[in-house]
Amino acid sequence: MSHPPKIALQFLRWYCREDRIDEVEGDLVELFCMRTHHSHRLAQLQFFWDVLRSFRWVNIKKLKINYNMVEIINYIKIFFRRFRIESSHYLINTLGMALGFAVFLLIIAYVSHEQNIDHFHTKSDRVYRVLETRKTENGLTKYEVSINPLAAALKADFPEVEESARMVYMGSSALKRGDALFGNREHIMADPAIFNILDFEIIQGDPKKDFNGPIGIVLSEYLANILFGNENPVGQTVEMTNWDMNAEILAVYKDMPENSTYRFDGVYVANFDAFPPNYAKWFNSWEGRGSTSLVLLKEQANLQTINSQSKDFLAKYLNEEQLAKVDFELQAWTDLHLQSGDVEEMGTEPIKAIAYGNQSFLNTILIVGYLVLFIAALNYINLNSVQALKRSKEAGIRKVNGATIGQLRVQLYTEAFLTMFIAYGISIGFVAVVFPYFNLIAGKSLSFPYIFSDDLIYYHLVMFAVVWLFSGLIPSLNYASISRHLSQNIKNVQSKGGVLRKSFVAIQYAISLVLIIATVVLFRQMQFVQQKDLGFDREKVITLDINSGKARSSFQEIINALESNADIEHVTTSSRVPGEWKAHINTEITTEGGESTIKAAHYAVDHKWLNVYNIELSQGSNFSGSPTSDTLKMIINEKAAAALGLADPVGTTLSLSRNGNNWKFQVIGVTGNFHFESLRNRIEPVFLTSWNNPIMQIDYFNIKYRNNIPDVVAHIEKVQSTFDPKTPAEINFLDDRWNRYYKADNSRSDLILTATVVSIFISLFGLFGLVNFTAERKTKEIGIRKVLGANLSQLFALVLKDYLLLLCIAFVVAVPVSWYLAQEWLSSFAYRISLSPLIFMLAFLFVVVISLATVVYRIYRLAIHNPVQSLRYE
Amino acid sequence: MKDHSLGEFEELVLLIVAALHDEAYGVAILEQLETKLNKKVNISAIHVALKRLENKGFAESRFGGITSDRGGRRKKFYTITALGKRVLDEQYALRTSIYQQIPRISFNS
Repeated sequence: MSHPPKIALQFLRWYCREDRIDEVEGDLVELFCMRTHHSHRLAQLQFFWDVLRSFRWVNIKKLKINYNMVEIINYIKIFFRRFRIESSHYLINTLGMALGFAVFLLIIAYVSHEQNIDHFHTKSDRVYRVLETRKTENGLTKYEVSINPLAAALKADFPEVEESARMVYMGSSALKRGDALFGNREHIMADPAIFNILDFEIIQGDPKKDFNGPIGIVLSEYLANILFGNENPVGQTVEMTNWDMNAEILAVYKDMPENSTYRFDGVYVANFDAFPPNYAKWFNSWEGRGSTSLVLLKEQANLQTINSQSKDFLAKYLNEEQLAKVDFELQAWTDLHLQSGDVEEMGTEPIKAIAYGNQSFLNTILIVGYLVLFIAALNYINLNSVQALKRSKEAGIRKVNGATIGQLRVQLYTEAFLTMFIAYGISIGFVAVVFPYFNLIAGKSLSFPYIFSDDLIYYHLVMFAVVWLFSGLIPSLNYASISRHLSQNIKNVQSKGGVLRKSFVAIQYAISLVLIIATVVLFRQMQFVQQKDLGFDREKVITLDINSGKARSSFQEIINALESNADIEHVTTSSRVPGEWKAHINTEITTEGGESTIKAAHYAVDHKWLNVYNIELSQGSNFSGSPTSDTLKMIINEKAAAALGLADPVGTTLSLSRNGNNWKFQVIGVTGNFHFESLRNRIEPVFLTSWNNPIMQIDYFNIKYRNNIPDVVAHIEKVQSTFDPKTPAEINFLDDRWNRYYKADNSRSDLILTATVVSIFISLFGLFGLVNFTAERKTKEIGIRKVLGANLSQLFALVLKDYLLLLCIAFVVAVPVSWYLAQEWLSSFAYRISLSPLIFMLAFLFVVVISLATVVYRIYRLAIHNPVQSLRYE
Repeated sequence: MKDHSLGEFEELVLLIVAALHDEAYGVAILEQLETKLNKKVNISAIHVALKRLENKGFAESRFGGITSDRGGRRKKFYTITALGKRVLDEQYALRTSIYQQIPRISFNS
């Protein structure tokens, strides 16, 4: 015979009253036995349902009540009575706390998610990425991309290495099957061993199986759906349009999780030796750099052994000159997201789905979170200690009736617990409401239950317990000392607790001020960065990537076809564009006499390019537009002219050297300086040459349009499909690209702003509560003063002067701290705002004004009160 | 004096308790009720109704012997009291008398 589900039965027995259990359990079990003949599963579900439905008041055990519980119940009762009587006080207290909790919960959710990126791989503690380090004038520079055969050599030479693989970024890549065509940049080419190192959840097929030709493809579920719909893709072939070849589908993996730095749509498993000879040679060359190398160490392998022997190892493969410059180090895979801030990119790294994070920002936001929580706790203490004054009578009565100091403390802790508990409940509701906005600001796609995940729930408990103990501590000491001397003059007590209370208010305000000033600086800088004159015009420009030889060779026809649309003003071609994600190629330029040599960024352009970006020539002339005469001409920017020490550069001849070859170019013009990268970097020397120069090939069309974006985009796609039907059009808006530089910064400053706003609110709650209390206590005083002839402003001053003084103290404390912090942050920008005292004054005024605005009405009401009534009060 | 009011569901349960005579307990009542009403009823609703009927004095209960198909729990049998019977009679009489006042015309329209 089958049995009803155990958990349900246990639950039932736990809650059900003794005298009802026979009837209820008996009937439920009997019903279960009857139903289980039809369907066991259904019967179980129904049993659960019945147990839940029987969870009714009549069936539930009555609590056994002992003396302690009576006490606690009494405290709870008193708490809610006070809540009803002094609802404004309690509401302020609870809401302030709830806001603090909510902000903290969201912040720890953010931080924990950031910290767990890439931790999901089962071997993540043993996976390392090889960073190549190179000595430069500015010290050591780290690069993600390392020497091509490095991964294989590491495995061969070090017994500690269990497995190694390399990932190669392929640029744009398109797959075609029948009519389905899909292209983007989220692909890599990799050794099959990558599936032994990183976790790919294989749904079908075997990614490590043998295949014909140089490449076999492993698809993500997403891409498999696009290309194959519901068919089984494994074993079928697709066309790789950029390569003009077919490849077999080896396997399909589940889309990589959202907490992964890389989220590839496809992995092209490569047999590098089967590549055409010149490619294969490059992949085996110690001069070639295009691979991101991964290694998996054996368990208990010592990382230090490898790091310390790196030079000896490299000596086997590199010549003296290179050996002096090049070294490598292993970076733990789990450090990828947060510890890669100093890693340089060359533009040949696999595309990251999540941009690198920033450990110091995490620390900052976590500190902000603690501060907000701290402010909320101070609020509670402050508001509670003023309450304690009012409650000295209650304490006295309890004392007379035989309560010990311990019991009085228990009472306060109970009340603190209740406040926190209610606040916690409210904060969870609050978090649930704002969660979509949080995701938006933080640029994450978390689901609400994430805040209760195993890692975080523990922090909830700690947060609750710490805040509870801390908040309960001072009021309970205070309260108990009041009750020690029943006859003590209340005035005495008030002045004693007053200092502490006032310093708390000052601390609160100092924290809020620091946060506000920091936020203002943050926003001014972000605004400055986004509105600074960049030296070129980035409005209404679309870039179209050239992703095939076909498009490259027929570029002039494509330009003509694109320009045939009336909404398109100019189309030009170039090798690089502003907001570039490919590497800027630096080339050495030397003056004719060899006096000076600089490295400058090289742009290959055509004669209309300066018009599209609206870059003015300060001297000389533009390219003529005739290919033959432009070939060996160049235009440099002012920065390059200055760096070369040329006062009158037009007409001079400069020699360019690259990979051992030399060319002589004649300078025909000089442009103003322009920013082509984030303002974190300085303006660099730049030179432009014609598109048909011998060094650099074209990679983009730059399209200046008038308006009517959908038409323009449709036209571009049409032209692309006419000239190059096998490659999808890769269209980007220039301002979008440009804003990419500041996306992370914007998201971070938004997070800090939100936390700051909340902290201000909490502080305001606190101030309102305190002023409310002062107003109440001074009702009589104000009445008497009014009778004696005081006017409104004098009465205001009476209540507010203490608080204004506190604000001033807070300001004095906050200024140096925030100045230091702002200076630190700004120093990471090459072009930045200066810190004017105005910012500080504004922040201070802002706080004073909104603080006053909150309490003015309360005081005003008191001040215009008829003194007769205020004197009769109590 | 005890409350003599009787809810619709309670009345149904009481009727079935009376009809089942000495064999009325939770599951039996549930089965009867479901066949008569031709719809699903949750057992806990019946438990509550029975408890109320007992509190109002319309029904009384006794425990039966232990049976194996109830997981070792006793059945709780209910019987209708004299008071319960009287209330049912009153309800019935009340309804019949009102019913008979319905003019014939209302059936023809």
